[in-house]
Amino acid sequence: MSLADRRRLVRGLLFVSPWLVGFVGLQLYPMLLSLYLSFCRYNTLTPPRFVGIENYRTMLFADEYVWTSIGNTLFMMLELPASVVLGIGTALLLNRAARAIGLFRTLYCLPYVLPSVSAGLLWLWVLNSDQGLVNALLGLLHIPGPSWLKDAQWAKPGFMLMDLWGIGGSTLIYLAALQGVPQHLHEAAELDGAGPWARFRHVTLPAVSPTVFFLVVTGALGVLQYFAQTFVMTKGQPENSTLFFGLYLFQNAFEYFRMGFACAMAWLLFLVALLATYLIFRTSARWVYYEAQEGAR
Amino acid sequence: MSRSLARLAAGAALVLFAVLFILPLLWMVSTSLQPEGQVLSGTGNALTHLIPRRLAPVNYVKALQTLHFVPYLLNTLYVCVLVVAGTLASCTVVAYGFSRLRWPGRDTLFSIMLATIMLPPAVLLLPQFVVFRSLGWVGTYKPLIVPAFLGNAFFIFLLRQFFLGIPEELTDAARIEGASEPQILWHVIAPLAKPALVTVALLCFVWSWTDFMGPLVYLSDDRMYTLTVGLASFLDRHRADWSGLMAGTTLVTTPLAVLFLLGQRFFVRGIQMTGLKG
Amino acid sequence: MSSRVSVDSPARRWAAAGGVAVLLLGIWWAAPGRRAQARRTASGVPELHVWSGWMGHERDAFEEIVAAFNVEHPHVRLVNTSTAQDDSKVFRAIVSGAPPDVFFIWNSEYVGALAQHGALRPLDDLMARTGPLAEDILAGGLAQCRYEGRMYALPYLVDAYALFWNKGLFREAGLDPERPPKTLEELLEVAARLTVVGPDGGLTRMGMAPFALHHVCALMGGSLYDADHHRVTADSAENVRALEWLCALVERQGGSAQVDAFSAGFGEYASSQQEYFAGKVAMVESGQWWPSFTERFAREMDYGVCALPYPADRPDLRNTVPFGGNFACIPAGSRHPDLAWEFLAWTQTRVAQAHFARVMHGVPNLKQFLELPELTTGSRENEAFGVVCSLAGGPNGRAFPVTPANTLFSRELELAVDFATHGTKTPAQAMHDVTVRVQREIDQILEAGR
Repeated sequence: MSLADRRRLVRGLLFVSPWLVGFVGLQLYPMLLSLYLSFCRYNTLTPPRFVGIENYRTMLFADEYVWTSIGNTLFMMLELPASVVLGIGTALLLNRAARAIGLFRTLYCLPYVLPSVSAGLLWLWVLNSDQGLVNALLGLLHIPGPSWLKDAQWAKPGFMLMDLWGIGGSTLIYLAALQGVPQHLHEAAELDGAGPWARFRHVTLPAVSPTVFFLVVTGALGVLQYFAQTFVMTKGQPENSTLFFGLYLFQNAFEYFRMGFACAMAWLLFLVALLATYLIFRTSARWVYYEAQEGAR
Repeated sequence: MSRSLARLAAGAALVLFAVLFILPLLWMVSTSLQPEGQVLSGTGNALTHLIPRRLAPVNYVKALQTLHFVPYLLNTLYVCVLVVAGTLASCTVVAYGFSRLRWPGRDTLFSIMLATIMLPPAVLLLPQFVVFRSLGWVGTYKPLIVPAFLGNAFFIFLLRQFFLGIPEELTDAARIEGASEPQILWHVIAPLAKPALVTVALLCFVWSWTDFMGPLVYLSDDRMYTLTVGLASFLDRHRADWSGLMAGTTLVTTPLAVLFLLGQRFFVRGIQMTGLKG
Repeated sequence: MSSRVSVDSPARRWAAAGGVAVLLLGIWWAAPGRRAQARRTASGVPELHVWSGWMGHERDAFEEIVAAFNVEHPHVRLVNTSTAQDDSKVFRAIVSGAPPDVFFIWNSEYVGALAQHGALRPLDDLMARTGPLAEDILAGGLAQCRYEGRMYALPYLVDAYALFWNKGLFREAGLDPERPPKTLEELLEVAARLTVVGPDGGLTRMGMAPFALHHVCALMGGSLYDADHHRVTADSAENVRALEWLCALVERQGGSAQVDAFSAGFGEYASSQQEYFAGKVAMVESGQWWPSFTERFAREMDYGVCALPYPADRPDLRNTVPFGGNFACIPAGSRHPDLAWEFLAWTQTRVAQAHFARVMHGVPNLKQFLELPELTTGSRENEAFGVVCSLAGGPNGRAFPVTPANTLFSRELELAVDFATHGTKTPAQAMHDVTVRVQREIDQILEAGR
């Protein structure tokens, strides 16, 4: 390496050193540490003791609550298709030159900016079976409302309702994507005699499909980590029906003195997330490249 | 004819959804203004209670006191402001290193950094706790603040994208005039990148404000709580004092809603800049 | 582009930066948390840090106690920090190596685990030095301090539970207001009689709201844990019967769907909206603080207090009293264990017990202070308090066993109630599952500790 190269390297590393320190100290080393701890019994008060794959064996074969929590978490994935439909639908509604559209945009997105703790507390009350808003609205339609968070069958749908209420963030992203669809494509399709549905199906949808994919994958990552809402609202009740993976992980680490076990759970989560990330990067090289090109212009 | 009908339907749907999205928030505010006895009275339901018959601002007085709103607000601001300052300082420098400087290994490191964006925070929580614990930082604000000074991969990515869009000629001209790299960053790049920096600051502020897991795990003394943790412990202590709870929730939410109203065009722009739009 | 650079003059930028800096400094200076974090300057006197969970007026009451101690003990300064009822905060502080010198555990679930992992200092030698004697402490309180034959905690007031009933509602239902249910079977009948169904088919009043399963287990004479053999006994006949009884209580009042729907409308605990004070529930299982709550939230209520019922076939279990309480521990890493003990020993004196009992409405934890006239006479409230105190002094005081996995244990019991009352599991199955899960956890902990 030439002297100039070396000088450039040193200067470059100097500039990125804050991130480098953070990466090594707060990500790489902790990850390796937790990998080691996941092979230990570690109650955090006495030194860790190596036990081989015991934690992984317990996790996969002996602790039925892990599977309960995985089942609950996977069930929540059902909200992803609904969020795609609702997200695109609301974005289409907002993608118009109507009067006061800015105001509507704000109204749609307001729920999204609520801290998850605030949203959780609010929805605890919205879903109250006796005095809650949802059951009052259902009452208008003469539908008897369920007990929501008190009922093992309805607790998860209740959470989904709350999540869909906070769709605003996705709506904004879909909106940005819709606005990127070239107008001349629509016009050409219209000249060819395509109706609104055909135009949506053949022009709009292909154009926003990378966005859909991106949001579904990041949405799935978000569901995998579902925590604050259930920690505040239900703590896993009723009948373990809202015991999500993230919550059970937290309980193991900080309430049951099973840090090693919790680390094993975290690594399982990490491997799943890695898979999702891999999917994103395999398919999304396109959008990163495209943006960089546009930016360099 | 059918076209105008379709427009009418779309307009109706627009309004309907707006009502559905905003109704819980309106109801939150109206509950917070009524005495609890009235909210829980057997007569009427949630919809009839939307319009308060008797106002009880006392809920807010109670929430302000029991939630320790003012001290927790100051704590939250303290953390948020330092986090924003740290993030801006570190991310700008790092993004500069990843965009305007050429050095061997840069692109490899950059792709590693991109990959870390996808690391779920829940995975890092436990091992980071162990690390901060061995540093003796549990029970202080340091685990919440110090990492901000070490950059944030997402924001670095965002800023780098923006920096790449600034013409090379500007920086080259400055170099010819003998400016050092830090000078170029401070005098040329930073002023031009103001919209991106504002976006980063806003997003970072919101995330820090709404953070729950971090303060929950690392703060022990209740005088150090931030608003989100304070609000959550408010629930435990006031089992179903719905009016008081809604008052507290309104208090915690309002500053953020105002910030969003003021900065919403930056949010939209920020999203477009990150290239998330596909 | 370049014109924009010149518009953005350095002066303006410096002004903006200065403004931000002033703002920053202002917040930094004002944030109360930062100051709490900063070490308090010592004036030569050692500081003793106590953590406790009390909030609001209870915290004020404890601060009074702290102040009283500081007046009497000028050689040390006791400083209270509130953890807002979150015990896991203390646990994380111990884990992080910066524990308080002494702390009060909110619900004593952690005592066993902390003791098992060596995080607590045994108190036996300190007790032997200054007292109190173990046999002077109420049995129900003492039971919650002992783990593997050693003392790891000291009570500072205990909670004792009894049955409270609203005489007005008894009259309305045509029941004798002076005859509360004596047996658990009778209670089911009375609860059903007191339950009122509204015109829309939903409940408008319940006889009695369900209460903690481990309290029912105590009433049935069930023990949850065999400490000598480290066996979880949640599936014993008595405990299964306890869960069956809880299910019957729900069933006799309309079933779980009705009860869930009705209890969604219950108001804040410490307020006139609380279901019992609001007249939505006729009987309640609660502790010695209830008379004072009644004076505050339902002054007009005509009520009675007596021992919780017993199973008809076990008259020997008459006057069983479930216990809770406030428990203080000294962490193994306490910097001032001797001073910490000096404080704890002081809490056992007559003046400290009487004062705290008056403001906190807790039962003095030493037998000799159960009948202090200033606490138990002079008003309807004090007399009702006295009734609970004298029950607490009886031989049938019971408490949750101390095991190294109590957080798991108590959550599993809650779940068992959840499963059984909703018919997802039979009571026997639910208690069996609790036993298996908790036993497995305890076995692993004990094996690792060997």
